[in-house]
Amino acid sequence: MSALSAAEAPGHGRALVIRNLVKEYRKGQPVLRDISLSVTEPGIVAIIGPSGTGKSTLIRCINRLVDPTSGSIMLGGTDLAKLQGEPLRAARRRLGMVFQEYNLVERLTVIENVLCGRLGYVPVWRAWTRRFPEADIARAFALLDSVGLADFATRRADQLSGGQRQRVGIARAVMQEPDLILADEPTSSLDPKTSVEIMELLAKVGRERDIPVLVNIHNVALARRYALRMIGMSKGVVVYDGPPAGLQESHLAEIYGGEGWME
Amino acid sequence: MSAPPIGADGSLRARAFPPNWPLRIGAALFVAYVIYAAGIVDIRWERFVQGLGNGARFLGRMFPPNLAHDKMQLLAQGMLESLQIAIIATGAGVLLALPVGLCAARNLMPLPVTVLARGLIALCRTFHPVIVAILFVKAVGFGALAGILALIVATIGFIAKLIAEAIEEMSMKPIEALRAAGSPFLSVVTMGVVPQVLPRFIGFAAYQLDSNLRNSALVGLVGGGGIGATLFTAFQRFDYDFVLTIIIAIILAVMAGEILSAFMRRVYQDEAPSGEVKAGANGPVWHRFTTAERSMRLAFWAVAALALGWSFQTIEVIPEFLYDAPAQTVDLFARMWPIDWAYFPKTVQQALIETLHTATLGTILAILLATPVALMCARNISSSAWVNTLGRFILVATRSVHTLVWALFFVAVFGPGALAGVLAVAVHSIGFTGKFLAEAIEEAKPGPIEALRAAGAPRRSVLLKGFWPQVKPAFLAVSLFRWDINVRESAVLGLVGAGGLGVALQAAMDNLYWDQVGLVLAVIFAVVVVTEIVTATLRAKVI
Ligand SMILES: Nc1ncnc2c1ncn2[C@@H]1O[C@H](COP(=O)(O)OP(=O)(O)O)[C@@H](O)[C@H]1O
Ligand SMILES: [Mg+2]
Repeated sequence: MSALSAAEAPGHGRALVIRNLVKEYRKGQPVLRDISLSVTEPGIVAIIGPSGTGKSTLIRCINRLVDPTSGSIMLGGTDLAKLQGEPLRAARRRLGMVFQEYNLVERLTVIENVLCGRLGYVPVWRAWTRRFPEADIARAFALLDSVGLADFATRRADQLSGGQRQRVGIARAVMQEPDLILADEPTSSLDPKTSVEIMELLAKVGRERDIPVLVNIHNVALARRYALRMIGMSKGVVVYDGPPAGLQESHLAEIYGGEGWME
Repeated sequence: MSAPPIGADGSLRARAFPPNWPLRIGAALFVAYVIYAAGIVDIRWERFVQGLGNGARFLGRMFPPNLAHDKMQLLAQGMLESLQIAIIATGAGVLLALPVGLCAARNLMPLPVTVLARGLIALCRTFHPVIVAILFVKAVGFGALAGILALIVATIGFIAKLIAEAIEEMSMKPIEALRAAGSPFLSVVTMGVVPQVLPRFIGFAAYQLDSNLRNSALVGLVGGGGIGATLFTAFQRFDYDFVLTIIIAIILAVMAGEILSAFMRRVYQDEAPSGEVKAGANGPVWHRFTTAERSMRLAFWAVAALALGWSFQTIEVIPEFLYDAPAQTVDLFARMWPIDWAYFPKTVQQALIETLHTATLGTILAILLATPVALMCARNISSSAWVNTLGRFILVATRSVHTLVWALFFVAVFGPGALAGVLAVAVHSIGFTGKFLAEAIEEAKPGPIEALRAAGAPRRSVLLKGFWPQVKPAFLAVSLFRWDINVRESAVLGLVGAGGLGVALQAAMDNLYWDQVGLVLAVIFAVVVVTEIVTATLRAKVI
């Protein structure tokens, strides 16, 4: 059994319910206009849409890298939109995030990058002296093994290829024992073959840990292949929400405004 | 799944983070050194506590700053003379630097000439302006002339190097064309070299004027005229409230100079001009400068000429001393030779060790003090504008008061000796070190920081795991760079009683033992050269 297995830490209380979410960076110019959706099922939920439509903003509102203007974001009974300070920090531990540019700390080793996923849990002195609990270190090794990077543990992160870095990024997110994983264009900086491998890995994480994986992605074909559900966004509103099979040409035309999506 | 192998001491931790023995040994040695060196410069708790009492009394006597009419007149006189010293030294220094820089350019001159010119430049750069000033005071007497000569030397060292580099970077095509046409050498220079280098000249001069303004406040401490002389007298007379007035005035002048210099460098960019194409009688013609650029440049030369004229007319220099200066200077150096090696084991060795400890401890303390200030300044760490501004104020204030002036203050508080030197070096270095650290922190990539925040990491963990690894190389480079500068500064601190080689220099001068003076100068030269080699080697390893 892999370290990603659901038996290790089942994701309880993971229902994400967003209601009437609005985000304005500048007053009177909403980027997100009244978004409501709920995600309760495990597996990949793909968010598609042209660039500039607010996909990243939506994802970043959920873990509060961006502060929403109004609306609520309920996760297992708490409203993330209202949290501040210590409670916000505690809530963020349960939200793993995977980035387009991987966002590893390049001058730290791979294993330390994975252990950074525990920074929200371990006391500061342990992080400073690198005295992470043995159980955490064991899990980090196991996770690296399961993403195929066991031999790279003590290499510096800047020695890895893009695909390998993204695997470390995913391992770091899983290290948090999240109830939900957010991924903002996780494949956009990768070649097609590596992109498939990364989507494969994200799908596996969602399946085995039994948690939803919310993925922003602009490659519609790739999204269709791995998503159990697709959310189409255009100009800050949701225009399609349903299974990949139900996504018609007409929807895509509405989302992308023409045939532009067929690269 | 394969179980991960276990580390040497049976724990997984040892496998994840194998102990870095060289680093541990290095850290232990470092701590041992600090304790040892602190003992040598006599840093003790009692002294510190006692000094704090003195410091409080001292500060009490500084407030409120003395703004009496006669004092303000003295202040204005001193400031004006410093300004004149800076302007004349910049003008004359830049003029003299032109031929020296030309001779140092390897793409233009035969090897022996460049070697000689480069040697001269290195000599001018090696000695702190204060040391050069004190020598000139001995040669030509107290007053502005010694200060001007000292700053001219510094200007030549700095500007000639920049000019040589600019010439070596320039395009050789016009030169070759002129040479091919059989032009004599002087024409090649005036037609081919000067037009290419001149546009960058103003930027250099602006930078140097700024630097000379600061240093002109300094040379007076050892008798070179200007506001430094006023400050030194006020210190000796225990006029501490007037001392504060002068220091505030210097800080304001330095800030104004910095703003002016930055403005000039922006208007007269260091880069080659863009130029413009205009319609001419025979079709379009390319002009080196746009009309606006040309009029700005004309204005610059006009202002520069006026300032120089005014300074020459009003500065108080006794002409006989000026005519006498070359002969006196040569005579001074003649008396230093042969240098007195016997003085080395007696006094200089001890002083040299003290100087090195002062520089090293001062740099370490500076980093400790500068780090929190840098965190205050970095906008990606402290989001409060108040905290940013306070941090920036601390940087500017510590940097604007020169190490020597800080040393005067700390000698008054803690008594003479290396402790005052360490503190002076440390406090003055806060500005420089903190500024570069803050910039390095602000340049840290936001992505990894965001990732750690998104994982719910507390602030202090984000600092250590997100920022520190990114900032570490810059941190080490800045520390090394500052240490290099501080070795030079520490060598002169003794002139105001703060320990090290300066004490030996002062003693030899007071006794008129010129062969001993020669020895101390030779030792300072050697130390500065070795330090520069060491830092250059280490820097290549760190980065
Ligand atoms: N920090 C910000 N400040 C101001 N405007 C922003 C910021 N981030 C994004 N925007 C704007 O919000 C809109 C949506 O951006 P984003 O969420 O990145 O879209 P997507 O991820 O779908 O490409 C864009 O018009 C973008 O310019
Ligand atoms: Mg985006």
